Amino acid sequence: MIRATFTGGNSLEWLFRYDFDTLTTIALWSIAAVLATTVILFVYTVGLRVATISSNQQRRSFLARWRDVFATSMLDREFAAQQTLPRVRRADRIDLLEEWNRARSMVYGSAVDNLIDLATRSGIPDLARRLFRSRRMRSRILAVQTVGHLRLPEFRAELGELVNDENTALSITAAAALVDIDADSGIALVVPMINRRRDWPKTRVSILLRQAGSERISEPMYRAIRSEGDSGKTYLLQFARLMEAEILDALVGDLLRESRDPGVLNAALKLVSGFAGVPRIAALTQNDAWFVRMQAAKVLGRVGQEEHLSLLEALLDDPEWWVRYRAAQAITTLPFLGPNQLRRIRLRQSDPFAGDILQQAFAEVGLA
Amino acid sequence: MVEDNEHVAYMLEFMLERAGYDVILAANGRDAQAAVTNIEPVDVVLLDLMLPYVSGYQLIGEIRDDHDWQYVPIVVLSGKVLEDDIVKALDLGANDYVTKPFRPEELLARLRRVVADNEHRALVR
Repeated sequence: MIRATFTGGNSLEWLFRYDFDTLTTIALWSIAAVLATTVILFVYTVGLRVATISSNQQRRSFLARWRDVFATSMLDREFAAQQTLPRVRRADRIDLLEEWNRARSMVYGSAVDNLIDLATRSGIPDLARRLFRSRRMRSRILAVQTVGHLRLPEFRAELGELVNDENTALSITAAAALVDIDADSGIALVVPMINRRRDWPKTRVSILLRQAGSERISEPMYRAIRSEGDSGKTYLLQFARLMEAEILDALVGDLLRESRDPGVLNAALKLVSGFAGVPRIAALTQNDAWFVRMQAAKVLGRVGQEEHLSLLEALLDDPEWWVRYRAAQAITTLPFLGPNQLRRIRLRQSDPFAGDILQQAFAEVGLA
Repeated sequence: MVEDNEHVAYMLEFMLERAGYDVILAANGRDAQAAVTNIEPVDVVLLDLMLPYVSGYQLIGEIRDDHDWQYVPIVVLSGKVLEDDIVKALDLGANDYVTKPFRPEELLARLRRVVADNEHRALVR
């Protein structure tokens, strides 16, 4: 039973009266405690939110200041070497490292030297050295990337070991860092590993090879492809376009002459430039694997001469639709055939499939 | 400038403004299409190829088909490095092609050159 009376004045006075029964007193105190906790939590949440917003604003402004410094340094060597740099708080160091690496990945040439000068002045190498020993994988990867971008030769041996690490991100980052530090020895070590490390993202491998330059990668790539088995050859040929054109032509010619593996032949045919002719092209248009015949038809569409027309016509009644389709497309793209000659080719086809597929290919290029 | 990577866009914008350009940034292909439709032709378009919504290739075609923008020079700045990609962009009507990573001074020089060439051609037109 509640015997409390509300008298106005101090609104909490009733809470401290002692003429409630025990249960009511407990209930009232519980309500008061819940209300107080709610208020405290609310204030705490608002405080946290304000602190987060303020910290994000500080971080954004810190990054904006440094981005301006990086961008100016890319273009201005004197600025990179002499300009007073913004202060870096301990808490901002990782952000600075990440931002510097982003800027460094964007450019090459003299801008890289300027960025390295700037990094040296802002203490980035020391921070990278400390993080290199970190147990946290994210920090280690960032450090590995940084020592590569800074071209610190003292880490070459350790990076050589990290290339073999089971962690894909760490090992490919170490491979890229090795190439950054010393492209010749880095490529000599990394290229023979590409086939074994199929977990490495192909895009990262392509970027690494491209940054090393076609002149530098051609010989190691040639050797690696020649020494691998059929599966390895097929895999590595995906990156072969980054090699020098003359060496690639020679390699493709050799593979087309020597290999009997459909995967290798398919991959090699994709790389034919035509400057050195296409070895065994007649045999390849009759290969047992339909995708090799299809690829051969595509090649002839790009580099075929008049003597190859009969090979393409023979493919128009191939049992596989894709082979017929690519052969028909190839015929329409041959530069020495005009519209009237193309129509005559269609008329002389006795096989109805050959006539149909030619008609479709002609329609695609607006030829009735 | 049509560039979807926030960091690259910031750096480029800073560099271009420092070199004296007024920069209008479109962060995706759709914004770039809207810019082509709604604003006066600019001196030069610096274009990435891999963009959200509308590809850089499509934008090159649309700029070349636009009555007002057709003569605006386009410099492609892209991570695509294969010969086929470069040839495709130039065939579609790009005036120049620079691959990422890039040399900042070289990029600025190429922009200056295409702008100057276009001004010269405008006099002839």
